[in-house]
Amino acid sequence: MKKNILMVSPYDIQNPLHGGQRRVRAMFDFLSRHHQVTFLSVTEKPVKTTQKNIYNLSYRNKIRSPKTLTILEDYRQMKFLMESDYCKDQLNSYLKGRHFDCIQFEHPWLFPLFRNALDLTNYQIVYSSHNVEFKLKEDILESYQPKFNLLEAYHGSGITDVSFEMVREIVNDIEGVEVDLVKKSDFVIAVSESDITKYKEYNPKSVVLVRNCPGVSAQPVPTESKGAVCAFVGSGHQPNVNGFLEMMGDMLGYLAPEEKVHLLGEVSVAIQMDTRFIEFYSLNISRIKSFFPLKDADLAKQLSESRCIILPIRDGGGSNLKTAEALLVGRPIVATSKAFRGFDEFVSEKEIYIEDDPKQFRKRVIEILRRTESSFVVRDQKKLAQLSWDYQIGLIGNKY
Amino acid sequence: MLEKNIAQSEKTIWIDVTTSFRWMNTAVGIVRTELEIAKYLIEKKSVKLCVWNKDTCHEISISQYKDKMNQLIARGAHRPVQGKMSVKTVLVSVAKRIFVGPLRRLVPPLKLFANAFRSLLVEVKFLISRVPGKLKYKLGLQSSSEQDVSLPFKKDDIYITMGLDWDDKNMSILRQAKKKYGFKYVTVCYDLIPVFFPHFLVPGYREKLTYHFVNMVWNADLVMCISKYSQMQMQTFAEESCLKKINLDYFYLGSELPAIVPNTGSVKEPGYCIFVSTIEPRKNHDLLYKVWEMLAQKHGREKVPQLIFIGKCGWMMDSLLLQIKNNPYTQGKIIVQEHVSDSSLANLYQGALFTLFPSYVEGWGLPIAESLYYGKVCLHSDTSSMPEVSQGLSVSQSPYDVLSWFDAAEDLIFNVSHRRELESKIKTEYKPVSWRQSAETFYKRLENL
Repeated sequence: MKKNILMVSPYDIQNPLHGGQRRVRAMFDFLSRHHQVTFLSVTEKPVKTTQKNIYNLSYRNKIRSPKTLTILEDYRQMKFLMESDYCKDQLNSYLKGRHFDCIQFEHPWLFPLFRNALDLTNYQIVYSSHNVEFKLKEDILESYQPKFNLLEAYHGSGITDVSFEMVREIVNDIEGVEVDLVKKSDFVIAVSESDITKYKEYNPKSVVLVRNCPGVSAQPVPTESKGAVCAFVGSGHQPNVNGFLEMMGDMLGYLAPEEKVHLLGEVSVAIQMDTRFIEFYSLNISRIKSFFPLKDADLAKQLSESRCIILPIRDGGGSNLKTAEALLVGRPIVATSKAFRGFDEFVSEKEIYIEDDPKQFRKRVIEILRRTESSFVVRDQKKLAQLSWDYQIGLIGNKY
Repeated sequence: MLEKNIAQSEKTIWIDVTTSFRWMNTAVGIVRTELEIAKYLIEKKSVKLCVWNKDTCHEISISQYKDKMNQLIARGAHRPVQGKMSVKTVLVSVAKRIFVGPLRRLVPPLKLFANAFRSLLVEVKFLISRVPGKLKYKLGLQSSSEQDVSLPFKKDDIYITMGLDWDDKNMSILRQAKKKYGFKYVTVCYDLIPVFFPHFLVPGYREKLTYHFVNMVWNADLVMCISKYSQMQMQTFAEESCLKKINLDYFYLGSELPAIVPNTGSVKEPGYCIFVSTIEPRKNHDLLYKVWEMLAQKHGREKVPQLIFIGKCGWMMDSLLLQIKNNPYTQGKIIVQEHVSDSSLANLYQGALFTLFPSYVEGWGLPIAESLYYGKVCLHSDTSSMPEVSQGLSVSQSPYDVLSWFDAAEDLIFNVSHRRELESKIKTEYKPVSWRQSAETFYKRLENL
């Protein structure tokens, strides 16, 4: 039966760039084929909407967040939306005269706003998770503690006194909202098996898996490798930067002058701005090449021309889109076990190297870069077929 | 025989003399090594000399370099000895006190500005990286070297550098040329202090020098270290940080100074001790200040010999020098002599009761060797390369243990028979290394390349 579904998200999806946007867009496109789906983003900056069934509500939050810790940006917005009567009124006036059977929350950040504005018992509630957010924030904030001036970081949230207790308070805030959403949901969509396990602690009945997938599912024709190049693709998300600098190191002198790391996407800028990278700036800059901004077609080309793809992920939660993309390319992959969370059936495949020790990780990368011939692996087509959005979302199509 | 072997193979040995050729001051440390090794290797007929100029390297004649050598040797020999802190040192010290405080307050905003500038640089570099190579060259954004590498070396030649390579040459050109021509590159590693002890360095040097060592690891066919300790450190750096094995060996630096000439200096008291070193935090002058204060407190000022710090005033030592000057126990008891010529230094060694060297870490420790060369006991640190230099013929203590240094210094000052005993042991057992031996060891090692 065709349902009226409202998908709500803290970002727009008209031109999806980062992994989250791609996932939501794929979900929107798939569900629109079977249901009447409306997409609503609630953002701080107004978004011009030109595509069918896509809308935006915007607001102004005068409290600015410093650039040092963008990881708290979504928390800052959630806190504001929780207390904003203006936003509540805006939302009510948008919903007036519209009928929905189901509201699907992408991330938990908008849930407090809807919880305040509506009686949610009248709707089917779906929580489409991208990570177990409170766990992710806890891990990241704890890893930041020695490196960042937390006083500065929390200033954006209007909090002036910072302590370990304050970190706990923030994590508790997020946990409270997310767990409430999980409990109130008719079903939860998770991105990995480990996230499912976590959510089942709160809602054991209905948690389903939709893994992250690359834009295309067919393995490309191998292209000639561009030489001793390894590629790392990622957004400017701090865990990507930390992962790179911890696994590949903050001094890239173990790479020969001709060996390069191609940094693809916003992560290239974020890494170059990091104080750890700057410590050996001249040397490090001689061993990397940046590609940002990058179109999808260029990204695929860069990946397939590399000798190997690195996935130095230490935290960040969820299941990685970049892992799916790397699998599809067919080049050797050097990854942490965390990067392969949710892709366990691929771990034992050829030319996939799981290295959690930074030194072994680097040794493996240079071993591949110094091979006389570049390797290309034709992966199992049946397994690859499971990496398409249609396959993944199709698994839960009858849940609405 | 050795010379014959290298000559027969028709390979030319090129010595890079860029550092000493351009040096405008007294020859010290690295400059002296380049000068002395070059001086002896020039005697071999197959040796040629070269000098870098920005991104190119060209041959210079031996006579041209000999003129420069004579100038440097003459400059070293005729420097006047100054009996106390020079007027310049005092003025610099006062000026620092007046200006450094306010300037330090400018550091945080300057850092912010530097970070912003660096961010801008990243953006500009990114934009430049998108420009195609040929256009970059036409716009002057890429040096000619990246288009066309031209160096005077040919296949199987040996190119030797011993100087300040991180300042005066383009290593990326050298690497390209090495690939193109197939010559061998031999270089000298003095120490890895910037990597393993960065806190002793002027800010900024860690990055620069680490890059230099990485270049060494990736480009050199042989790295000659100046001690077993430096060799061990270089090996650790190459294997741990660069994940690479490299060809390493060591040779010892010469320690002889020019012949002693009649003393023209103005040392105040007969019977003095010396500490020959640049005045900087790594050298641990602070320890000797405490030891001398304690000696003066225990035995009375007049019974304690004068201690002369011989060396250039470096960085972050203002407050120590001020304390020494104002402390009644050390005032006039510890003095500083800058710009001492080689011959005067030889005189100072000759007249000293014994020498001291409490440095935290060294790549070699030339003043220990010089002290022993003149038959003088050196009370030195027991860390890094220093025990290697003294061949077990002097007294060593931990540079962190003031009380042990106090006991050892007290013994050497007041227990004359013990000091004499040590001196006679040095005279019979010490095997000094001359610059000729140093150059010969170096040259011999080239045979196996």
